[in-house]
Order: sequence, then structure tokens, then C-alpha cells
Amino acid sequence: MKFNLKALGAICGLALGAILGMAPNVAAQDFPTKPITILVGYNPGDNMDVMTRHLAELVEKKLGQPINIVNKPGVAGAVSLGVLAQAAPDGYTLASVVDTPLSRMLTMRKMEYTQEDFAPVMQFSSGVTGVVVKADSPWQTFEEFIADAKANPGKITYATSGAGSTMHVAMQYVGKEAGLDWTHVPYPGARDTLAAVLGGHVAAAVGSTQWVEDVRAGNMRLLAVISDARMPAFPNVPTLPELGFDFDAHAVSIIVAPAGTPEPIVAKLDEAFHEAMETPQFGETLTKLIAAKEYRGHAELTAYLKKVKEDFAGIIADLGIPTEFNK
Amino acid sequence: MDILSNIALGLGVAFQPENLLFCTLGVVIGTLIGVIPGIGPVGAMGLLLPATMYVSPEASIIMLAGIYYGAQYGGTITSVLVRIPGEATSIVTCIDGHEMARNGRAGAALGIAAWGSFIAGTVSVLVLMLVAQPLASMALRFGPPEYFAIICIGLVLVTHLSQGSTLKALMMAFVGFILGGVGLDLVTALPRFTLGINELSDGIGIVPVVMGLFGVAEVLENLEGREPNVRTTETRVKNLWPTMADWARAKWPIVRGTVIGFFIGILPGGGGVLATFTSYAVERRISKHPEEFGKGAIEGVAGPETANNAAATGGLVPLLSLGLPTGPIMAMLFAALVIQGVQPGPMFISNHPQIFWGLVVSMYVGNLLLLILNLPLIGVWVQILKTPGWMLYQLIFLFCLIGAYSVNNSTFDVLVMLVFGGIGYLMRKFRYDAGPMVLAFVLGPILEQNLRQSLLISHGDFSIFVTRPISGAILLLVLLILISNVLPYLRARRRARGQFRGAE
Repeated sequence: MKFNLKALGAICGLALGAILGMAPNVAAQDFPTKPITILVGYNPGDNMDVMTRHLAELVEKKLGQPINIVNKPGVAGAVSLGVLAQAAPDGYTLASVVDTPLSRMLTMRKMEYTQEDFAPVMQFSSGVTGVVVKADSPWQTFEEFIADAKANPGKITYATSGAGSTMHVAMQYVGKEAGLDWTHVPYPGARDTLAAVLGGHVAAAVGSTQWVEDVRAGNMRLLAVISDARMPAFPNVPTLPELGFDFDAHAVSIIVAPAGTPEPIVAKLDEAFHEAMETPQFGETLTKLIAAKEYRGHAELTAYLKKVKEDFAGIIADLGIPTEFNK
Repeated sequence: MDILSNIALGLGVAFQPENLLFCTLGVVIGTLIGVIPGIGPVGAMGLLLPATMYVSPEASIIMLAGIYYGAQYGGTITSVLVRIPGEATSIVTCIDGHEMARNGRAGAALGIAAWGSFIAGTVSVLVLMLVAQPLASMALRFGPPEYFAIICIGLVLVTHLSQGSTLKALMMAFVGFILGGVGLDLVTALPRFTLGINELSDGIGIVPVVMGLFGVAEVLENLEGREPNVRTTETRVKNLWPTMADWARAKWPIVRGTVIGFFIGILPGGGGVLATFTSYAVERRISKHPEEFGKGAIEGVAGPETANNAAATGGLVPLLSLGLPTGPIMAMLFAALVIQGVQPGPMFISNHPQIFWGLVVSMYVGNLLLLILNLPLIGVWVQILKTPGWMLYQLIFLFCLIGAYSVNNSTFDVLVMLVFGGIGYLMRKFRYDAGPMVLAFVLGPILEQNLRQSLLISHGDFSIFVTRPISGAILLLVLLILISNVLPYLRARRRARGQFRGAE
């Protein structure tokens, strides 16, 4: 299906090129000839918004055309993808989102689009999540935490920013592997989960790096990192795979175009964004936001998103997490 | 001693010419966006956020905070003059503020709101300074059961908000609940009532609903061609100031509004809207002449308008001392600090004293600027009423359209606003009050969330609500309020029955 679309796109591109009297790679060389619009799937001021605006500033210089940022917040980025799917596949409309609505969310709910509606351009960052507990809690290590949960089935509570999130699924996965039963308490946002831990209302919070200041200030303890690599800021804290749980699903920040965007244009955008993300200035922004730099090119990213979706579907089926397809 | 040197530090920062300029800029922008319905502080702050990267962290946060509390002043103006809330926190002001304007007392309403806001702003900044840290850790002890209990208070006050039939108020509250239920289920993340529409997964937006129910419905009602109901407003300058009698009546509502606003502002979730609803309900409840409420009681303006400014400051407590934003506006301030490389959190005040104290002192200055700015302008604002109705209502409709779109850059929100405009118009025709519906719509999802979280934590045991001291005490209060509501009714019935028997 995907190959057919690509082939179709290529044929159309060739035909169009022939009609206009020039080969499509010439068109790609000229690209862009007018301003580009990037739809940001989140509110102004969100980490993704700040990162995208900075990237756009750098890419503008490289491509020589202004880039407009339009915020289309809603449903964790899915609203912006819904808009992008309807846009002309000419490389002038892109979206900047976290991969969740384009991979894991598709396995949970009926969406207005599929993965085949998009041409991923590149990945510029990856998110890290971690398990934190209050500093005066009895658990010094993740092993102790698990042991306690095993001894008290159902008694240990943990908070995440939503059911079906990678954090929720990670904890359920650990629970199943370790043969224990703990209680998930969902909150609307990551910061609410931290307030719940500091107030002693839940035992642990699992979420993105907003706990860094609290861990540094000694109010919270980081027990484990949900990623395939340790965090440079906390080199002593083990990852889930190191602890024996083969789970490293984490969200990645990506740029996508509508399906059918000519491959040379996607490649050119990929290159421009890759160059921008490798600049020291962008590196500084990532450090400020405590986000990790991680690159995937357009071909690699396309395969990656497919695999993430399939793997995730398998995991939630194993764990028996309800979805809109099996309720 | 310590606090004096801190204030000196803050004065030094706040009176730097650059910071003074950005403070003025912030409160002026805030007032303007407050006046324009729909375009709220979140949108304006979002637009300006990238620009703040180029100024110092102090100047950036001082300006953004200025927009925030400036909008609380500005939002009042349209509520009073044309019965369209400029901000969600000015919804209740529409009730009595606009009635005052119809009685020729628009100036007094705006005046008391400006003074109340000033007093609340100044007092709550003082409190913020003194007790930011201890208060924040107390607020942390509020978990899901405590929030559940607080929201119950908000809900038993529903009937106090409406002017007409209690039965209709309760019906509207249930409609509000159902509307609030649209979106993803918190615990399973599965969609409810979304009709397969992507946008509805996040729930129905509060801004388009409120603008539809209040703004568009008002415009539609005025299309009927009758003399628009603001025409009666007195526009002579003589009546622009609150009288001594007004002050005597508004004095205590302002004091109570400050306290209620500040404490509700500290709590995550409710924020300014809940503070204004609560203040109004409290004033109506304890007033010696509750029958005047809804007909232009100055207490109904002074209390809520004070409360929303106090809540604006209260919301800074958890942000600055714990790094926990309590709502979208606080999240915006949070982002402004983060992109400057300043991490709000437990170490914020000790690591960045110049930002914290500079901000606090700039808020004094800002509140003073707002008062100076707003009192003379009242005369100008009232002149708006001289605009011919056909022109005024077209402009209002235009601003509603722009405002609804600008929140999320979403045409779907514009549609939602138009639909609720139609519904709001019919509700007015059949005398159903929008107040209880909006209250339940706002509080319903928070109530559900905290109820379900509480029960998850307690493993389904309902005793969690009464065995925890804070939530137990609050729920007892709820019970007392309910009994005090029902008692007079029962007594009246018994008396009626007694008379009936006597007649036999």
C-alpha cells in the first residue's frame, strides 16, 4: 500500500514535471519557492512549541524562505495531524508532533487518519520518562519498590498523566513481568502527578522530566528511567532494561508531511532540519528543556513508527488494556 | 529584617526603567485583551512568548504577569456595559454589574470593581510575599478527596446563582454535567459522546461555550429589533463614582472576596472562575437583602471582581514555590521562565531572588498603574454605550468570531460557539439560566476526576471522603449548607399545612 502510494506519487511527479517541462529533481532543487507552514500540535509555550520555533528559525536561514508556525493544539497532537492529512502534499505544509498520535494512539482508538496518510520527514528529539517517589519514602531502589508492591498486592499506587500512555503501559508491563498488582491513578497532566507524590496521595509518579528540579532539590528520588540509555544528569539511576524489564518505549519528537509529498522534497527537508538540530544553539535549547537529541532520517523513521505501532499493539493485547477495538 | 532587604531587592528590580516599561506594557495589553471578548490572556501571552526570549527573565515574567492580572480588570468592562464577559472570570459580573448599568450606575459598578481589584491585588501580593512557601506546602495536602469536597461546595451553591426557578436551575446544571462529560474517559482513555469527531476527544471548549451562551445569544436577542436593553444606561459623568452608601455595602464583600479568591486561587483546578462563582454565592447567601441580587446589587459586583484578582495572585503561590502551574495561564508563565533557562520549582525563590521579589514588587506597581489607568477611563468606556446598537452588536459578533477561533486556531471552536449561541438564545426565550449550566460544565469534569481518583486510591472505599480530616470537615459544611437551604422550605410547608388545618 505504502509503496503503491509512493510509486503513484513519483509517477504523478514525473508527469507533472514533464508537463511543466522540467524533471522533478529540478523542482526539488528549487524548493522552497514560498513560505512553509508548520502546524504545531500543542499550545504556545509547550516544550514541543518552543523546540519547533527554534528549529524553524534555524531552518529558515538554510532554506531561505520564512516559516510560519501555526498552533493547532488538541488530543496530544492528533488535531494537527488531522489537519495535515488534508493539506496539499507539496512540502509547504508540515506538522511537528510527538509520535504518540501517529503510532501508539492508533492502536487504542479509531482515528481520522492512518499511518499511510503521512510521509515522516525526520526525528529531532526523544523524550525520557522516569519513576519518582517522595524523598522520605522507604524505597531507596526500584527493586525495593517492586518487592514492597509484591508484598502488598494492590496497595501501591502510581500516578501518570493518562491511561494508555507509555508510562502507564510500562508500569503495567513491569507489574505483569514481576507478577505483582499495583494501582494506576490517572491525572490530567504530568505536573499534577508530581503534586500528588509530594502531597503523599500516591506512592510514585511516572512521567517526563518535569521532576528534575524536585529530584535535584532532594524532595523526590528517581528510581528508574524508562529509556534504553541512562540520563546524563542522573548517571546512577538504572534503566528499565537494565533492571530486567525489556521495555523502552518512549515518545519521540518528529516532523511529518502529508503522504504523497515528493521524495526529493522530503529528503531536502530532512537534510535542512537535521542540520538545524545539530547546531550548538539548538543543543542548548534541548538542554534547557531537558530533552535528549536523537536523529532518525525519513526512511528510518517511517519504518520505526510502523514497528512502534505493531509492538505496542502486541503489548497492550498481552496486558489486556481495553481499547476502542475490543471493548 | 530579612523581608525588608528582600523588598529592597524587589524595588531595585521593579523600578529599573526596562522592567517598569514592560510592566506598563503588560497591564495595558492585559486591559485591552480583557475588554475584547474571547481573546483571553492565554492567547495573548502565547503570542508574546517567543518575543520574551529577547528580554531579561525579570522583564519577561513581569510583563506576562501584568497581562494576566490586567485582563482581570479589563474583563469587567464588557460584562457591565453589554452583558458579555470579556473573560471567563467575569461571567458572574454580568448578572448584577449589567443590571447596575441598566439602572444608570455603570460608573459605580466599574468604579467599585476597579477599587476592589486594586485592594485585592495589593493585599494578596502582601500575603504572597509573607507566606508563599508555607501556604504551598499546605495546598499539597489537598488530595483528590479534598478537592472533591471543595467542588461539592461549589455545586450546592448552584441554586444561589440563578435568578429564576430552582427546578430549571437544577435541570441546567445536569445539562452542564452531561456536556462536561464529553471527551476521553480519564481512567480508560476511551472516547465518550465524541460522535467520532477528533476535536471532541478533548471535550467541548469552555471559551466557545461561554462566548456562545453569553455573547452570541446577547447579539441574537438584540437582533429582534426591540430597543436594545442597554439603551437605558445613564451616561452622564456625574454618576461615575461609587457613593458612600455603595462603599458601606461593598466594604465587606471586598474583604471576603479577597480571602476567598486568594485561597481558591492557590488550589489547582478551580482557579479564578470557581473563585468568582463562590464569592457571588457567598454574598448572596449572607446578604440581608438577597432579593436585590440579580437586580443590580453592588455586592454582587464587588465580591466576585475582588475575588478574581486575588485568585490571580494566589495562583502564583504554587507556581513560584513548588513549580506547579495550577492552570493554562500559570503554565504559560512557567514556560516563559523555562525558555529563559530558569526552572520554577522548590529552589526557585532561593536561587532566583531577584526574579521572585522583582515580580512581587512589580505587581504592586502594576496594580497601582491599573487603578490610575482605569478610573479616568471609566468615562471613556461608558461612552461605548452611546454607539448605535446595530453597530455595537456587529462589532461584538465580529470579536466573538475572532476570539473563538484564536484560542486554538480552530474553526471547530467557532462552530461550537455558534451552536451554543443558538442554544443560549432559546434558553433566554424560555427563561433558563446559563449560570448553573456553565458552573456544572466547568466543575463537573473536575468533580468526576477527583471522585474516581479518590476511589482508586481507596480501592473503592467511600469512607475516604469522611475519614480524612480536611475533606470530612468540608463535607460537613456542605451538609450544613444543604440543611440550611431545605429548612426554611420545610418550615414554610409546615406552616402552610397548619394554616390549612386551621381553615378546616
